[in-house]
Amino acid sequence: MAELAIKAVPLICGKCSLRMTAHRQQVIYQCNGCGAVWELAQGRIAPRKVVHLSGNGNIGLPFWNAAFRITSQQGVIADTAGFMTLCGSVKPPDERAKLSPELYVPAFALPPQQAIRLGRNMTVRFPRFSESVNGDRSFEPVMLGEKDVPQLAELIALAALVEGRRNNQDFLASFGVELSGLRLVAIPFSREGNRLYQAEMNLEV
Amino acid sequence: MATIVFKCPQCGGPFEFAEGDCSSLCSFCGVTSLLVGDRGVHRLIIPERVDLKAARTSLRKLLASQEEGQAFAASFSFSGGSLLFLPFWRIRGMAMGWQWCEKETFKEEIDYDENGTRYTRRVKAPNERVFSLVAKPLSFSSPAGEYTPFGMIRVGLAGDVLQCEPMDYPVAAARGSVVDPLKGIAQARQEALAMTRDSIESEGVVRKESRIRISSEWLALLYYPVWNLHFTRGDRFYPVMVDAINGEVIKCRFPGEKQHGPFLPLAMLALLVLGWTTMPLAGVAATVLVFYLLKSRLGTWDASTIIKLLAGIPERGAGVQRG
Amino acid sequence: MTAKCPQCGFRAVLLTETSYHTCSQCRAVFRVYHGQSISEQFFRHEPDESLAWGALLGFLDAEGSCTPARRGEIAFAYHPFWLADRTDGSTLFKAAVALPDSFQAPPAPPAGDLEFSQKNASLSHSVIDPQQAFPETIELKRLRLLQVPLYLISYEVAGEKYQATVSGCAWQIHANRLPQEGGMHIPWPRLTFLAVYLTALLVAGVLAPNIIWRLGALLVILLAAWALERSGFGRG
Repeated sequence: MAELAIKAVPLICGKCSLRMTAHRQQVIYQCNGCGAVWELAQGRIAPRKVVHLSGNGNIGLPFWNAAFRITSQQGVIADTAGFMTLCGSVKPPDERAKLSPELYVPAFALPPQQAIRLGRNMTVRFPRFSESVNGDRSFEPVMLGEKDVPQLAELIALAALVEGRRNNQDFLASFGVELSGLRLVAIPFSREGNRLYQAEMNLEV
Repeated sequence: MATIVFKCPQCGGPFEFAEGDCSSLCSFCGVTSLLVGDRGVHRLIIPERVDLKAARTSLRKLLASQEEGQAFAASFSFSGGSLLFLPFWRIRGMAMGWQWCEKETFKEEIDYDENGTRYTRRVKAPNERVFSLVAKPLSFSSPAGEYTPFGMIRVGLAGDVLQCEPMDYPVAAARGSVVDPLKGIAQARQEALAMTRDSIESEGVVRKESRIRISSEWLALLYYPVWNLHFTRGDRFYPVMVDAINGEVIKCRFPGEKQHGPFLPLAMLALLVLGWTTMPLAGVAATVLVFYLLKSRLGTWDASTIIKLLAGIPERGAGVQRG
Repeated sequence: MTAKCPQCGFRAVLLTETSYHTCSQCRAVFRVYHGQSISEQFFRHEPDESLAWGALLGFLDAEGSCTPARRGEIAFAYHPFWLADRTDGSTLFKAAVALPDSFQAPPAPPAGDLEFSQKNASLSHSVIDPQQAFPETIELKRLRLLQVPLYLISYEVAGEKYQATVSGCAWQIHANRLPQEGGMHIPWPRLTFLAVYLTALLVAGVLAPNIIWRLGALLVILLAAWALERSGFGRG
């Protein structure tokens, strides 16, 4: 047994040695000085990669982004066309039909129901962002850790499905979501008064 | 909710974490620190607030408040006590998932009886299938072992008044016995999720399916102090458990027994013999006096009570029991 | 075959096929079962038979037993129990060596201060296989062997024999059968004492020549009887 079973790790940037501040529930930290991003890994501060996506906006909102596939009693659905069929939507243009669908899981502070709704709305719009050339921009505090992503991802995927699927007990019992290529991305939104707006997706938070 | 008092790794000053928090700011040096548990588990101890003397006083007060308490307090003697630290699992986070259920539904139909009077009746409608997302804050504590002998089934953490410290085993072992956890975290999680599932309304539900997991989990093993006191009376031994935070007696079991001293029955017999062997009138007076003494001491002239008094058999009462 | 010591983590090469080993680093004993190291731990306890007997008497008192119990044989020993964590999160607790007939084993693991067993002759090391202890086909995630301090007490109440198990961890009593409350126990020693006392009073009262002698004699007999009572004579 460890003699002292807890330790406190000071939040100091490993790059520029500046003190970092954090919200009490924050799990990934960004240095206000140099913009480097850190997380707690195996009892110490370790660098965390964040991909900044391009777009118009003055505030970066963090999301967990991953390709996903759905497993159910009907088999595995690993392409966008199949996923959109489950959602009861019109098929997307051909060039995206065979691609893996991508999930967006909000990682910033948001009530659970709102987070699921936002994630669902983003996922079914199947946006295609490119990486921004202006890296190391600031973004909102990350409150959702990587290990909690699969859970919320499953709920977002379920929320996107047509109601008939969700009311089928056998389908639900066998339903599962597998993620691959999970990454933390920062998507630019515009703050307009009390609302946050993403122009490319025509989406409001 | 409990707060954890810690030492700042930069300046050594005391600073506080609230349960469930990942980080906290030191008000002395302004450095924010993250709290890291051993393999993800924060092992914490609540320092005892009640010392041995106060624990014994608490028991004496309990006994004094009972009908036969004074007699108990006089007849039992304290033979030792030790401090125990009982581990409890503490889980905070968000219980998230989904629940599907099939519910019975009823509808009201208007009908007419043979007299033409209109009335409504309740008839069964097709079952309703409902899917709902579950997102409930979770704050759960569960004993990490079998503590019913100690009278403890949960630990109550009241607001800001309860402060914890990081667990230091050698220091704690020097103050008392640290009980080892025997229930694993997986079982505690199952219990927490079962509690969440039970809290979801289930009226009229004929079948259900759910998948709920804990998100943003904050996990702690909290060691709660309890005094284990030993009392004896003759060759009998009575263990007593006293909460070392609020001083409440949480487990005790004393028999409800009223034992009269030996002098009274011997003195009554001597008085009767003195009276009747002197003169009949003295005998009558002695008999009246004996009956008066019986009434004042026992409260009754019941034959079985008098026989028990003479035979030295203790009377059974309610006793004192907690936990 | 190699196995990891459950106390210090030292990975030892096991040269024999026996299932019971001592770690060369920390001297903890452990077993190997299907390639898995199983720790053996015992509850720290100072044996005290009089406390165990006192706990049983206190328990019988609180249960309402009026008749005094007569102490029989008390056997103290550490008894091995398997503690298994299942994959579904529940735990199973079963005796690894059967207790003697009519003694009840504790149904759940007691709470106490555990230590890793060192090679100690006083602990029972031959135990039944976990598969025998848990015969149902169930997933066992983790196995531990716990040595629980138990007192096996035989006692008698009103001529009838009883057995009880007292756990040394929290002085818990486990018994299949307890003395039934009912019927008044006749304290013959006490009644004999009273009869002798009354006889002495009557003889003194009748033979005394006057009231002064009578009073003095009765007072002496009373005080003598009271002193004898206080010393425990006549209680049997």
